Amino acid sequence: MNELEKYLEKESERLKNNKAPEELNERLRVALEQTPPRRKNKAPKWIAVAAAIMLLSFVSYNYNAFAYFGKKLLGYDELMTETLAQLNEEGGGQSIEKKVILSDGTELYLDALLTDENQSILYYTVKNSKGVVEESYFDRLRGSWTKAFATYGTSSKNEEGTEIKGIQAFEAVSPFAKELTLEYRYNEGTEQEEITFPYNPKLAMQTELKQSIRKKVHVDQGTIRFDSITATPSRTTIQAKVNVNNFDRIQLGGGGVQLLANGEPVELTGSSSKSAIFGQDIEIYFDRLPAKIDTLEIVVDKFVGYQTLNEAIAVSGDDDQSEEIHGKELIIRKIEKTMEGIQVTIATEQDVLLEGVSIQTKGKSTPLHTTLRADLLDGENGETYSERVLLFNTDDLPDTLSIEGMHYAKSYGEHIQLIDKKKTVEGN
Amino acid sequence: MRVVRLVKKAKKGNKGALLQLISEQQDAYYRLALTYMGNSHDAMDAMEDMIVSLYHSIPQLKKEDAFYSWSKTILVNRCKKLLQKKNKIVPMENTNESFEKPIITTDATNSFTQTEQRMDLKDMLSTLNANQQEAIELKYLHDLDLQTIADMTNVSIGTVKSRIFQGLKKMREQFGGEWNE
Repeated sequence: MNELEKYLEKESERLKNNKAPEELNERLRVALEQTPPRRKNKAPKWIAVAAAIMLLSFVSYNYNAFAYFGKKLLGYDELMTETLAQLNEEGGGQSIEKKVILSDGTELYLDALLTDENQSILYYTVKNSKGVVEESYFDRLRGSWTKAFATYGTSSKNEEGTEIKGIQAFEAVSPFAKELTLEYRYNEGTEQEEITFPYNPKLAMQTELKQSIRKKVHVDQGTIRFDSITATPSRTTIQAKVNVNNFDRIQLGGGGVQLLANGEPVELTGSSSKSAIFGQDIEIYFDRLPAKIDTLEIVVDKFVGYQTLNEAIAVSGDDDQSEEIHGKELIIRKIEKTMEGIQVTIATEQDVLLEGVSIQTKGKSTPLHTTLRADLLDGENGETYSERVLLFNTDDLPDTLSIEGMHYAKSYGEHIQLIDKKKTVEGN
Repeated sequence: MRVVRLVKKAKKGNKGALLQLISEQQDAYYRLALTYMGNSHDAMDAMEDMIVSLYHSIPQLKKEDAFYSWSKTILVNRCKKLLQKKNKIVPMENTNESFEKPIITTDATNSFTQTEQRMDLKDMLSTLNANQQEAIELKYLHDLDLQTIADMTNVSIGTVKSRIFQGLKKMREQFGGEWNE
């Protein structure tokens, strides 16, 4: 290092005395709190879904309301679900045909937009002869009464790596919006730009079913109130309010709720939740409803439950000690003595969370101090295990491991009938 | 690694985790914003912008351990955006060698005495062009690595290296022999 660099280093040290004003932290906290929550996306695997079982029959389906979209979109076949492919056939949606050039010369084409009361779906193409990167390009759509955040997306690259075709979904846009501004980003989100294009709300697809539900289902630690169902050509959304103490203790969310149309399950495509006053507002998404519906019902097949256990498990000291508690497998992978204390590695099914865990040595009990790590691992038979490392503030190897209770995905099987035109025997 | 754990939480939408990540290097972010914005008020505005932007784009961050260089890149971009809005600076691409716009705004009363001559960093940097100045500030005053600087200034690592080299060379030439190796 030469003199000049040494000098710069000293200057840098001196600059470090320049501290941020005290109010900064509070301002950042407030700014962050005022930001609307990002949707937790359990995005459907579109391609897999498209290849999966065809749940809907379009044989007798004929919808004249959206014959606006002059031409069919080409090249999106492998990305589209059956439902979207069908809407494309029918010409639902509107062309945008705008192009922007990103800083590295990449061309971004906005091809078309398909909107309804549930969501907005953007079809886009990214081209660069020097190669393109598959990343999430879009933030949100803005317009009159519209702040539609990006929800999920999917894309595929051509073999040469020079072109991407993608589909990006956003929240619904307002029927009052006459133009929309798309906020996009690239370079791992470091560069942000926007583009405005005209929008015709009259070309939005019609809602096929909208009904309020107002029914409550009681679960172990609270209630789920189903509020409404909105079925549009692109999706079916069920809105509910969850007031359940242990709702977010396991990952399940609304994923164990089913929608049965004519006795057949409509495919679940995702769910999201955001915190509200006294609980959470959740939305559960399903595919489009069949054209003809005789019966429609919601089934709370699985939802978070709680089981009191108060069990003490004798620790054998062997690796991978397997136990069964209330029908669920608990594996004590290993117990180690470390500098920080006793570390116990356990594994359970993904949707099991233990409550009130402690270890006992010669009559002395030590409560859980903290969980060091939690990982999802694949088991031998394709099942997913949640493995975590528990730390206890003691130096003594345990004789027993005590568990007060567990949160888990419990089968409830509660039914709510929404439509019942067929009071007689069901079946075809 | 703790940072990685917090980043993973923040990716899931945990606002507290994101705030904690920022708080831990709050002063570094602040100094970086201050360098560009020139005053405390605007620097804090830029950081507010940054945290909202981070909250929305963090799911796109691929390498969790690169959180700090990535978020600082976003901060610098937000600063430049804000400055553009205020028409305070000409965009970097339009600058040329003769364009001498000091970005550094450190307290001018602070100086460093080397031999008999009072040297002021601000004066020294102001003799460089804006690109060289920016690269040297980011490297030496904000301890950022070359890749991050390249991302922030939208050029290749090679260009960053050359800007730093040329800048240092010019400073040595201007301010006499005591800076030589």
